[in-house]
Amino acid sequence: MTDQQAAELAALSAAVQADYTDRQAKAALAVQEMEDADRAAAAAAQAEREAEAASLKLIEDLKKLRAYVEEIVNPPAGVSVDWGTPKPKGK
Amino acid sequence: MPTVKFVKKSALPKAAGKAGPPKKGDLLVIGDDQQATLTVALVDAAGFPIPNGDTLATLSASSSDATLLTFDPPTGLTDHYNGLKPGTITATLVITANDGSFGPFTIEQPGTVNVGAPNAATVDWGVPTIR
Repeated sequence: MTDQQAAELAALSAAVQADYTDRQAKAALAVQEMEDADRAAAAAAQAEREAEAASLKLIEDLKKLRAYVEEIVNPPAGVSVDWGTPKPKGK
Repeated sequence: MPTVKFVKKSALPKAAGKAGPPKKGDLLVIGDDQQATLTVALVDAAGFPIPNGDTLATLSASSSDATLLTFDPPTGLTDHYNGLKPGTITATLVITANDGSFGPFTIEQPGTVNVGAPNAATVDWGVPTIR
């Protein structure tokens, strides 16, 4: 092998290595981007679940608050009794 | 923008009037062969029923004479009672606030347990004597 051939081979080898390294970096980047997207989607789903749970809790709290306010504004002052209509036993 | 909703007066909730027990005057009347179910409603100072009363108060019911009239264990503010034997009784209802914020309200309702409708006949043939 002549010096020129050796130099060309070395240059070719370096070019192949550089191309491999570049493709490897791009592949790693693509994998990283997919993982990031998966994590973002999972985080978004989790946030949606948490928001839904918070909404349900808010609705329950509002119901309790409403009942409490109604009781405060309109406290029971007495009772009325419906004694029902007597019927034969077992009917 | 605020909105105004018109509601017919007839559609408004009615004040709790005197509920319709089987009374003779103010007397609770039930037959000794009968049963009935009472329902208690909490009302405000204007006499209007308060919603969800079951969640606010507890009912206990008792009879002055358990041989004449008995109450089953209440369910919420509803209770089932049974006439057993003719006589005069006083039914007592006590409604207690679950959080102690009102009441307790006590109702003492006099009543009678009447003889039921004829269901069979018994015959006393008497004691024979010399004519």
